[in-house]
Amino acid sequence: MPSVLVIDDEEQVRQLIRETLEQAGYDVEEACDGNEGLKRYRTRPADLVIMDILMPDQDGLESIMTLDREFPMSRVIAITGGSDMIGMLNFLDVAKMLGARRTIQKPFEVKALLDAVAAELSH
Amino acid sequence: MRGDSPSAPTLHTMGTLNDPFGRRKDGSQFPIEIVLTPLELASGRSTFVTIIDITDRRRAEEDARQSHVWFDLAVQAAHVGIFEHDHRTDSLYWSPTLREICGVTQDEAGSLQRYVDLIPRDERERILHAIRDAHHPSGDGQFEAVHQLVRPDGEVRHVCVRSLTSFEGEGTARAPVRTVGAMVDITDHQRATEYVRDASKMEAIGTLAGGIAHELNNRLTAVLGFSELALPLLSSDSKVRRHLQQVVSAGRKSRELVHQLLTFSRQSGQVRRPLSLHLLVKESLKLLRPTIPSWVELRERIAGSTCPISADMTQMHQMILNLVENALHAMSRTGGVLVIQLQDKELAADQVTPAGTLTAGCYACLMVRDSGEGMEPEFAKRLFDPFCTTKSPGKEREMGLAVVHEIVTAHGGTILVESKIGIGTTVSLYFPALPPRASATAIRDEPLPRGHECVLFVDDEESAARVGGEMLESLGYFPVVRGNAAEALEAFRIAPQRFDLLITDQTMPEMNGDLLARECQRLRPDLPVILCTYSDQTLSEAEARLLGVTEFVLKPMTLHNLALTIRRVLDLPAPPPRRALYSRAGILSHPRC
Repeated sequence: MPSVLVIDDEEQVRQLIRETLEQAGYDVEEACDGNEGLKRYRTRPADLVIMDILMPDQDGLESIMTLDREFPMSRVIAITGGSDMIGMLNFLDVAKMLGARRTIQKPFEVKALLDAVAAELSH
Repeated sequence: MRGDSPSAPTLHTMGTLNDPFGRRKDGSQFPIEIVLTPLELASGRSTFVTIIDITDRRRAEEDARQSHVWFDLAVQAAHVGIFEHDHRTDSLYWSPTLREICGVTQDEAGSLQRYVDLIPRDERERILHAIRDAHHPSGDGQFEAVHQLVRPDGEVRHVCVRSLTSFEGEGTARAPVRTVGAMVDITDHQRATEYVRDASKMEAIGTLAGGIAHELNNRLTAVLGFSELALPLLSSDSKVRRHLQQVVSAGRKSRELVHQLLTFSRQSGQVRRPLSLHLLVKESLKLLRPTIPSWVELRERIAGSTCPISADMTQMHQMILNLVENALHAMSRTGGVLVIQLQDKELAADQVTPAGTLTAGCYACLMVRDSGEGMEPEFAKRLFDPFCTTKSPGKEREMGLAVVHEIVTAHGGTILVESKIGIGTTVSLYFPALPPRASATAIRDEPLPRGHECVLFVDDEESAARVGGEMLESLGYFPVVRGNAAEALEAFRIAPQRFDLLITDQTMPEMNGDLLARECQRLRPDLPVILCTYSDQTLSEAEARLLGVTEFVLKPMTLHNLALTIRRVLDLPAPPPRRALYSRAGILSHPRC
């Protein structure tokens, strides 16, 4: 079954995504920050990564860039609860420019998450 | 003068000549004083003549006179009020400038008590204590205080007063003789300081809002997400299910509110772009509604659409907030009705107004009317003066309307005020509409360019999508119309080479037009894109071009604009590859990367 790596510093968010995706039949791994997430991915590349952007230490944008560089075929969905801007582009826009294939603004609806994951993994 | 010296001369000064001059050997003149003194000598009467060179004295007198003139001029220029208190005679002198600052007429006698009466009660004791200290024989005679002053006309000013007291005598006999001091009106400075402090606080609140929003959104993710996971586990007639549905509904509303708050608190950097005020006003009122007290009735008359204007979104929000706040203040004692009206106004001819001439043309007109106390015409004229106030001491700063005035005039707008005592006040703002991109004459006379290319047209507004498709067909194109980005992307993915052009609305749920463009250009880097912007544009033209957008079309679209823009885009030489249009180095230089 397809595997998804969830990288988010918020435990409740990781738990929510895990339960949602496991119910839908996905194999889910978790990481609490960018460093741990990259470590896990290097050990066992997941079919899809769900990456939070605003995290301590290594944040999502940096991790997306690293993943895109080391694993050009990686698929990333970027998520965030923040609204920070770089100039007039928000972080989700920047995440897409750096390699994320989709973005989801928190709080998201469970169906929206499932649809996004299914759409990415169907290609 | 004579040889006989007086044995007992009686000397009387007979008088002096006015302005006599002596002449030196070299012909130069010098001022002298001639003193004639009669002498009774034994030999008879004689006159003793004394001639004194008073050049130095005259020079000193002139210097003193000049100093006095300069001092007077300097004091007037600096608007410094001078006072002098003679403690022996208990007489007090107040300069005209001091009287002006205090609002006291020339007829009124100046006194210490009069000064104290102008000080607000809650500050009086502190000032009196400082005065007593300054006059105490054991003190240094210095007095300095910053305090409010309530003029006889009710206006509140801030003043800084300094004085120095001279004493005579020693020990227990030491007593104050004379106090000389100055008063300066620092109201403008004080208010500017408060304004800067408030502005800094607002900026900090904006930054804090961003952080709090992030945390709130994470919590809302859990609230919404787990509720949604739990719902299917419950039977449809379960009470728990109904309760959880309420949780989901409240969570969605909270999500929307957080988004609106963030939009408002975000610093815009004063970027002006085309926007239609009606959506912005509605959004502002959504945020403001909870703050309107129950004794004020809010009536909204917002037109369904208004002509686009060039404006900075954050400044427009600020302007509406300040106007509403001021209107609520006007009704704080009586309650009443607050009317917010927005509509287009077409002026057929130039209109002369108290605020200047409104040239003929189309305007988006925002009107805020309150049924409060109203104001005198003289006061209404000064309403936007930064330091004009009807608020009593201790109330919030009054610079809000000055900010409104600044924003409106910076946007090329005009602001009109009508007010009647006991009826209320109406503030009308006129913002000039953006000029249309093509003249009406051109539309009538020139044949429209046509084509036969296949165009993917995307707009989430059903009517706009339908009209767009019909326009394209009328111009000979083959339109493929989709109502959302996901479906459009799906259609594009099936056969990317099928499409010659993507025309997409910018603001759409789930995926904006610029990101749809990006996704399509991953598959077709040479795909030309036209972005249709209406009001909530979040990108500048430069940033959109960075993302591969070829051209913009301002909504509502006209057939003429659309026809010309499509041909301009399609007849361009092939664009460079997509990735060359932005630089990763530019992103990496950001501190977050």
